[in-house]
Amino acid sequence: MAGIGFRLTKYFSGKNVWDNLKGTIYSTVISSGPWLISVLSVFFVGLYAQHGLNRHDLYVFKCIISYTFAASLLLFGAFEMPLTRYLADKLYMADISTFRGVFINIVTIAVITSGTLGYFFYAFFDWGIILRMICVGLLAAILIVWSSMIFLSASKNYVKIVISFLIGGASSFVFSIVLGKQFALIGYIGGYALGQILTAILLAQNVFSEYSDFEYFSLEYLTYFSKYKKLIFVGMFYYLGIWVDKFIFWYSEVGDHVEGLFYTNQYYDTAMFLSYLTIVPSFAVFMVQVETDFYIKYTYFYRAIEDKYNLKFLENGIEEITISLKKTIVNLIKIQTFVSVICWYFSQEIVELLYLPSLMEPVFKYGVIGAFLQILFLISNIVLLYFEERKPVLINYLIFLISNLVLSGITVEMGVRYHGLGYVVSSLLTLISSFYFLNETLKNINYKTFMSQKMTSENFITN
Amino acid sequence: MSDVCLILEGTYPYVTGGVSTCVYQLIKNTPFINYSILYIGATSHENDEYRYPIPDNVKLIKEVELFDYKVDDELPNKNIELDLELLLKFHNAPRERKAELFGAVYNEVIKPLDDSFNPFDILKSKQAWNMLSNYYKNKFKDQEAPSFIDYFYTWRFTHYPIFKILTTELPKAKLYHALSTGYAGLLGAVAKVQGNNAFMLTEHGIYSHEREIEIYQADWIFNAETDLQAKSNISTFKEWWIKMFHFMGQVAYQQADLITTLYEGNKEKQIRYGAEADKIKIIPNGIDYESFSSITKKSKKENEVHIALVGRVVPIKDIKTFIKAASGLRRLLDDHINLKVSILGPYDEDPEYYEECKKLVSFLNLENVIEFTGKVNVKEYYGVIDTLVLSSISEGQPMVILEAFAAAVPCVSTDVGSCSELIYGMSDEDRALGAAGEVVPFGKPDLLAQALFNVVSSPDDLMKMGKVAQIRAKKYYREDITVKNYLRSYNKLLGSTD
Repeated sequence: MAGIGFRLTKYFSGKNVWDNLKGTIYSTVISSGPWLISVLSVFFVGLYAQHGLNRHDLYVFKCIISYTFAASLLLFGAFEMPLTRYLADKLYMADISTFRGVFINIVTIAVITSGTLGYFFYAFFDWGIILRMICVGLLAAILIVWSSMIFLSASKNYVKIVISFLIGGASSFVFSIVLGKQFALIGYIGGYALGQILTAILLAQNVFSEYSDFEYFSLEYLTYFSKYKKLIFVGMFYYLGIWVDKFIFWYSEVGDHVEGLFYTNQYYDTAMFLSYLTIVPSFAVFMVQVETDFYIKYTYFYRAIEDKYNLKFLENGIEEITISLKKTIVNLIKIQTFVSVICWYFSQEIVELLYLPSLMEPVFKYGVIGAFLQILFLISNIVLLYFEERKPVLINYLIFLISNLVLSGITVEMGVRYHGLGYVVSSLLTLISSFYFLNETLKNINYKTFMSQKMTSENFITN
Repeated sequence: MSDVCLILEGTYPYVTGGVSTCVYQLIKNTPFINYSILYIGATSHENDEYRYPIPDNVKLIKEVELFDYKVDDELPNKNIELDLELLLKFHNAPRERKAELFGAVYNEVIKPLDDSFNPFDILKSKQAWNMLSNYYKNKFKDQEAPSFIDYFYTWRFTHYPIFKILTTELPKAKLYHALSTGYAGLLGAVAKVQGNNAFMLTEHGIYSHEREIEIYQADWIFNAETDLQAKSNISTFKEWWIKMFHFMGQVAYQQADLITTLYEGNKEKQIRYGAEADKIKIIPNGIDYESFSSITKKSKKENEVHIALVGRVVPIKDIKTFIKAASGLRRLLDDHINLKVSILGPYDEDPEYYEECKKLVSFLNLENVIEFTGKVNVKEYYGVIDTLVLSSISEGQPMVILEAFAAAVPCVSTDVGSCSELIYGMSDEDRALGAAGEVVPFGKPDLLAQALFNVVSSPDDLMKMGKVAQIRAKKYYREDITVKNYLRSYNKLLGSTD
């Protein structure tokens, strides 16, 4: 008898839809935490150091911290998401045997990178060995802090993260005040670095106790960098987008040369960092709503597919997800409008209260609006990543990076009244694009979920 | 350009069997015809060995792997223009109409695709999705709607292989000869609608029918067990598969210029499945008569009965019924008679089934009676066995019966395919020769055992039946007759007279 006989195997060979999506979940929400922490650090340290240092040293101090954070986030952005994905996948498969090894690997890379980068960068400065070493130590410590956070948030260990940060942050504050009184700049920066190193040690300690087995050494995580190339650039573009307007204000004619390669701006970045703080409450609300509402409906939908529900049921599931998202966004807009309006209205009082130069006020006002828009596009992109839409996110963040670069450049030329407007318009453009993609994604969830399922001959057993 | 392009699915030169043997005979005995072969396999056969020699007049062997996919997770970003109206009309049409629309769909949707374009992208396009989901929504009311993921994958699994066929480039030939319906027949139909090439269809077993049986038994097709609704006996998805195969058969029947099959019973089935009666011609199988008739019979051993089943150990041969029948025969025979039972054929095709058979053998305490020989040279057995047995639930015109007949071995068989015609005769003249064994309904081990007992218990009858068998084979089922018949058909289709 002629003809081919065949049978079919499970169609989701190996990992199923749900497994695949689970991967991105834990960390995407957390992934935006680091920049907030860096903003806070730079901001407070800048505040307290301004009384103990002369003008030049104060700028040097501020530059060291800003540059270190910028460098750390740009480096971190490149490996944050692929690494997170790796950890989440492994965690889902309940296989944490490689984590300790991978962490040691990452820490080693962080230290080597910091050393190399610091060696070349600070070669342009006329500094003693101690200050250089402190700076390198600070960069390494912060990189280790970010890396540890991925490991700890992958296991949802929020409490330990917060405690470590509180202890480390408080130590930074105390050490730098105490040492600063005696050794001036080196004291301040050394004390600050000590606190950050302490944070790094505490977090690393937590990672070690969380993942105690060291079964074998695996470089499998490196494959995630080729598997999820887009995620590398998503992270890099995002952090670069956040910093690029600052770079422009440092290095253009409105910036000031401080020393070596250090440039700064007397009002722009500090005012911007201050305005970022206004979106902290919104972000918290988003995180809570995502965890309690959106996420449940999201998982429910993917479970329903595998539990063989009919199409009508699946379409209802998507509707529920959409409603939940809309609700979250509307709530967020309400809260953020309230916060932003108040900050806008009392902008003068806020600036005065913090003893900041009044030149910062207009920038702060732009910043408040820009941050509002940024939080909206940020959460849109986090949601897009939940749906594995890496390409749209990449496009959005590229729009953010390029428009922030170009528009901030233009506003520098336009005059001081417009400083900060570039960031606002850039955030608006990114938001429009993000909403567009979010809308498209929500409309096409079923299409994409099904049609993008892989299929190989392994789905057929032939005989 | 070759003269004849043979479209072969799961057969010569990789898989042994009746069709393969027939194809090999045909090629070997017509050295003046240049053949190209389009082989449709399940997955890549690169590492497989040819099971038959390839004669020099085979100029080309091209292979299509039906189930070799790497569908990745990228969705097409190109917008695909499809004649949705035509496609909807096609999909909503009843079967006969669908087959009629096939040419239009092929020429307007598949043929215009340019080379730069991955044709499988159509199946991943938004348009395809919309069609699929709308079709689902129109077809099922909310409460009765089946699992969507199963629906989706049934669609994929049914459509991807078809798409592979539709986008296969055919070797150039004067005549396309498909040796089955199914995917091979579909490809033959493509050859026809593509350039109005001559298309001949030969069907040994009725493919759609065989598939139908397979699908009814299949456990790999999703059953909607979760449905609370009382359903008809067959699941939506099994029905889908069956419809798909029937559709493919219908298209091939409709497009073929000439249809041949082995015997009358098959012709009737083909007509039932949509073939025009006057297109069908019967060409029986033939065997190399001399090589079997020359086997010298060893003198029968006293007090021993040796029966053999020649066939692969697979469910369609219903080996289990044969084993049970052997057990029945053991009981019917006197205790002093030594019963030997050989199952001659490869058992590696369906290891699970083989294991089950072996368990049955040991459960019935027949370990010392039944041997599974694996693949052997059957000629060595025809000299010693008393009778051949076939317990299949489906057969065409089994070569093994013809070969056994030529060797003067009678046969006890289930009443499937042309077995009855073979054993009792197909025409009055043929029937007058006498019976060459016995026929029983399939799936009835007791009846099979009784028939076997009837045949083997009298050495005289056995001898007589063997004679009848040999005469019948010589008169009607010789390979040279078969080859001449096919050649005549080729010439008729190509318009030459010979």
